[in-house]
Amino acid sequence: MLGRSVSVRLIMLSVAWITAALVIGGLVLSHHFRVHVETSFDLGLERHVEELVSYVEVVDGHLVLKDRPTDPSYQRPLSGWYWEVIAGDQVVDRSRSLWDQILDLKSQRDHHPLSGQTSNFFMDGPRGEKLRAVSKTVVLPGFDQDVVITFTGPAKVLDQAVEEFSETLVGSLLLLGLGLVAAVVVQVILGLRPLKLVRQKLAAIHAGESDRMSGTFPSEVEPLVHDLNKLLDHNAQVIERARTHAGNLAHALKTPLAVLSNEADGKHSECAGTVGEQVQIMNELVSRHLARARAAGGMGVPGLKADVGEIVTELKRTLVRIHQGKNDGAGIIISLVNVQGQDIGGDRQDIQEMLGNLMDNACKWARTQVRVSAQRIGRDIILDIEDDGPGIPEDQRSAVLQRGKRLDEATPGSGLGLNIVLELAQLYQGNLTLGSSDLGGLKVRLQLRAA
Amino acid sequence: MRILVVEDEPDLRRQICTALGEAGYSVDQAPDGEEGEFLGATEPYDAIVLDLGLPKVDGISVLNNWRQAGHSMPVLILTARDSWTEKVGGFDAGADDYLTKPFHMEELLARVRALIRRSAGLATSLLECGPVQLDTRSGRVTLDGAAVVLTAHELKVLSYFMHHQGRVVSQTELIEHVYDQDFDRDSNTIEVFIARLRKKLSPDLIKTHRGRGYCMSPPDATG
Repeated sequence: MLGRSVSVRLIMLSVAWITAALVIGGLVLSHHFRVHVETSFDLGLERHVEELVSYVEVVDGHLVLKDRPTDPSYQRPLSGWYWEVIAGDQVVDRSRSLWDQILDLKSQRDHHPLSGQTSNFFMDGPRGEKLRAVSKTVVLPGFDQDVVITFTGPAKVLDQAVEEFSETLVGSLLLLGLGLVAAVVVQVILGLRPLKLVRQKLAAIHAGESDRMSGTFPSEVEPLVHDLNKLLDHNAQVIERARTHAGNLAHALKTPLAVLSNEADGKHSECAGTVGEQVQIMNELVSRHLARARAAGGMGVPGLKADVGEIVTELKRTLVRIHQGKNDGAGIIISLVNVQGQDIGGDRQDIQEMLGNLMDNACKWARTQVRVSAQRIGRDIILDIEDDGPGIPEDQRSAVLQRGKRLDEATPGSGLGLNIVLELAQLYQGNLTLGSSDLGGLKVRLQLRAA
Repeated sequence: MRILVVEDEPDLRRQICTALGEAGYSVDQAPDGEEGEFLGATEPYDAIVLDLGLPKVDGISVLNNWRQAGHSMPVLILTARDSWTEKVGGFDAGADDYLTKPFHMEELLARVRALIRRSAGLATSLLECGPVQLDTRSGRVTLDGAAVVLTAHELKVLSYFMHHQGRVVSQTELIEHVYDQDFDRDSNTIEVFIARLRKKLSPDLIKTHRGRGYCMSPPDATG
């Protein structure tokens, strides 16, 4: 699925990219926020440190705090807000919030910065809670030991702020991601719509509704459509050429066959008889394969349409002349019923071949008239070709459709007519059945798919 | 009856010409469309056998050109192309009949006979003029039911008269339809044939219209 659908591939790739971008973006943002929050927290602590520094005095070689920070947080026991003043290793003074505890500064790497400098660090408080601390080392005139002043605040405050921010951030980013993915999906669907259109047009061609791809396409798809059309044209040309070649070969063979058969005709030797027979067989083979090559060629070409009305009108004109000597010179009356406006899906020449053979057969057998009628039933067009000739008894009808079988050897014709029509009809997924006509003779029913 | 055969395959042309000649027709031949078209347009043929796949000018064009120039002689198309598209095309171009290769020579002869008969407006192959009967299929001539033996040329002259009964036929017309192109034409021989026909059949069957030609009609019809 992933490998086959362009849409899915595009969407998956976009989703992966969007996810990666948002996750990285979120991490960077949250990190910066934490740094920012720590900095301002530290600034607050540093201000307290500076305040306390100003309270420290040396009186007679002893450290004295003139005043104490007033912030009530430093009064509330074990609040996490602590301060402590250390001189050397001795705790000089500490906040009331520390109660009887002292800050475990010795385990901290940065607790004793260089003189005049400040360091910021995390440490564990008396209750094991996490604290953010700022230490400053000051050197007082008249006092020989470094004085380290440390202020702490609960790191929980920091973590809470960062956590709240992260929650909001994750929500926003999720929303943004969903919006982006939706946009990508819409874009992919809209962007690939021309391809869908191409597919629909191809389906129409396959169904025989059109023979080329028409309409306007985006400039990215246009070359594809152009090439497809070229391919379709080329295909049609190849088929046409193959048909022409098959036709030329078949027709080129027929003249020598005519010469041979005429040469053998009328001579009563064994050789002449064999030649005559073989010529007949060759002729039937040629006709048969020519018809099949032609039909098989037409099968693959989509978008073909044959107008029944036009075809039978032409055939009628021709057949009336061919059979004008029949019926004591009165000819055959051919009537066409409801044939206008019926289109069969298929090559015109093939349809003409089928109808020509059937109508010619009917004319050969008819006494005075032949009737051709068409009707559309569902997706099919049913063509009935009837005559008022002798008809064919029911038990012999299936035999007539077999290869080269003729019930009456006296009526001219190769006997291939009905059989070729049946084969063509089957190639077209149609059908050919024989029945009785109310005119008195044979009714041939040809069923083909409508265009 | 004079017939033109336009066919490019020499063997087939020879076979057709021989068969037609044996059947009592005067036969001209043309090996390509150009010569065929010229002959068909200039000589008065009673029927033409025309191949479609011809060198120089194809058969359908030749036929079209003849019809456009107003030549209405019956034309039998002889072709290897047997699809209905080609048949419809041939008939629409003005053909009178269509025969596909390979064919039996008897079939060709029968078609040609029927064409000539139809163009003369006759329904059957058995032609009658008073006591004289001519079976165009067999070339048999009878007088009051008894067979009469005629030479090939006598038969040709009689056949032309039988197809055009009641019409005055000039000597030139007779010569043109009885002899083929290469024959040394001599109007005296026509007079000889007519004299022989009168002697073998009936003296007043063929009447002479001085300065115009001859006319054949049943004895009772002219009184």
